[in-house]
Amino acid sequence: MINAIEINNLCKKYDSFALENISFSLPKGYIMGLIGPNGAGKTTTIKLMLNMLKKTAGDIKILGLDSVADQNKIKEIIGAVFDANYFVQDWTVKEVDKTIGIFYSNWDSEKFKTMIQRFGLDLNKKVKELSRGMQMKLMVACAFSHDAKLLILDEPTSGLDPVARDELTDLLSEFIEDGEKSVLFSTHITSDLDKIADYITFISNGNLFYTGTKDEFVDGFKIVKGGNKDITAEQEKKIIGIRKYSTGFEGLIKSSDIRNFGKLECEAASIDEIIVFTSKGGKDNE
Amino acid sequence: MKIIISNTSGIPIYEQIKDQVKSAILSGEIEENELMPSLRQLARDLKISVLTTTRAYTELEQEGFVTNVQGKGCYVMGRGSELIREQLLRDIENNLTIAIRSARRAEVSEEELTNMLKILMEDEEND
Amino acid sequence: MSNIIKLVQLDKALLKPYYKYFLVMIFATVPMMFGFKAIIPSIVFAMSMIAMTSNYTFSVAEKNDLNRLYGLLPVSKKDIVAGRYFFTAIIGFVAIAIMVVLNLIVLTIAKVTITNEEVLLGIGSGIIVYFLFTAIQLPGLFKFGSLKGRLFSFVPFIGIFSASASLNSIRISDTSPSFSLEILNSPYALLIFAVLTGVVLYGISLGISQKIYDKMEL
Repeated sequence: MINAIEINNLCKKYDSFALENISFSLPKGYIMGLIGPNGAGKTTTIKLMLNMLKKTAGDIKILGLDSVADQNKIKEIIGAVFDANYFVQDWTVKEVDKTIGIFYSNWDSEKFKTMIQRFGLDLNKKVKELSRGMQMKLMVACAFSHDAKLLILDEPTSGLDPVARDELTDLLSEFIEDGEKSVLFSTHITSDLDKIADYITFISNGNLFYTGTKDEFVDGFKIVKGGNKDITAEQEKKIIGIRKYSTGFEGLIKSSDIRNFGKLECEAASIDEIIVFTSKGGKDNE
Repeated sequence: MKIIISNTSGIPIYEQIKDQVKSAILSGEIEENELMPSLRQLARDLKISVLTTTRAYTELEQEGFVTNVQGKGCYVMGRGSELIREQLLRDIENNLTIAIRSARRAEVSEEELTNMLKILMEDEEND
Repeated sequence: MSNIIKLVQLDKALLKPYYKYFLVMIFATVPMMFGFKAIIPSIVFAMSMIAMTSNYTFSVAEKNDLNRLYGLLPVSKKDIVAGRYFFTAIIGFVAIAIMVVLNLIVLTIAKVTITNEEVLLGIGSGIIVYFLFTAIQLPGLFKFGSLKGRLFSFVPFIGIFSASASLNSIRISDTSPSFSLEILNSPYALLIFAVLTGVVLYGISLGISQKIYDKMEL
């Protein structure tokens, strides 16, 4: 079966930053969370997928199509939601339909209007008069209206209230329900992903840290806690990231190392904790 | 069928789904050959990952509670299914073992215990 | 529908908030027409003014951060550039048509007689001025954007100055051109020459802009 996304050894070199050897794939019909601290390379990866940046090496395939050679075909089947909308602020919602619609061979104006109505948007309102949540929905409506097969979201929930965030995750589940469409969701608000993501790709400082199912990701790490005297130097070496405070410490370990921490209290780690501790560990090593 | 997800129970979500589907089947709440909600529908309704519902259904299939018909969906297996009967027998054994242990602690004799069982069974039948 | 036509339509939609400025600009040239009392300098003047609006599309795109939209649309970067050139050319032709009509009306009111040759020469010089200036401006705008490249939008001032300067030298009586090349003394030939010059200028400029834009990362 063709993967929705297939990225192999993707590199992008800048003077001060480099995205190095990123490889991951997303099977059709699933949601992948692209996570990592700010500046990790999430947006760079997305822009490379859209051929907005030129890759230094590697290759990107979207539903079997090459990101450079078949870029127009790919863009016909990609919908995107960014942290801010990409329309002219003075356009009305109706003008978005008219102006953007002509570019897509699959554009369904009726569907657009149905979505707009469902979202409670006003066709005659200008883009700049819409709230952040409404603008997000307008971008989603566009993606749905040209029958996008892959929805790429780059920090879509920053600045959204919990209600709008919840509506978005609902829309994503609806989007992939037929099993043919897929979602790549870059965010640093991992609570959006805790439940709905099937796969996780974690990039840190331009390097791939993990890619695979979310369950394995979350199960792969544990938080270990204890008093400052409870931990040996040997054990500390096994800790990926640690936070020490006056009365104790907590750290992130690999679940496979759990037997080395015998008596210490271990508990499940959240995606957030994994990100926080791995980036802390990274700093300590510098 | 009722399926609710608890985020604080500490039990993995796929386990929670499995347990609730099983008890719905065993209690007869859902009938043999009834169509289960689709994987993606259930994921959407519960706002969880498709892989999670997939795992729950796959394990339910392995345990003989449901059967997957390619292209149609997941159907509930009859309660008469060998595997389910096996599971029920195991449940009975476990529960009886608990009863026996409690009986020992309370110094209830074997005769009294079997009497209790008979009385309870008669009560059940009269209901 | 070809991608270039779609992009022309997108550009048209970009300029929507600027339509009123175009109207203002067109009517602002009317008093100048009365002043010049000659079609050639007034068209040169007007087309130089219009050429200064070529940065509007860039400026709307920049203000609204449309790079992401351009990155998303199923069109190549080359088409995006070509669409912008087509759109700018269309603006030019429409503007010339309007200017000729306006001039004829103004000159009739001002009771200035005007020959067909003068009209053709006016159109020809309008085309050359507009296409020359925009051909210089567009690569600069693609390279630097409308804000950093705003210097390029002032290029047509040269035309405005020369039109004003010519007011003193060119009198209505001696508009008959005298080129060393005999063929160019025919107004029809000059018109064809103007169109060809426009095409060549745009061809070169388009090639440069496409190279510039293709190298850019959005």
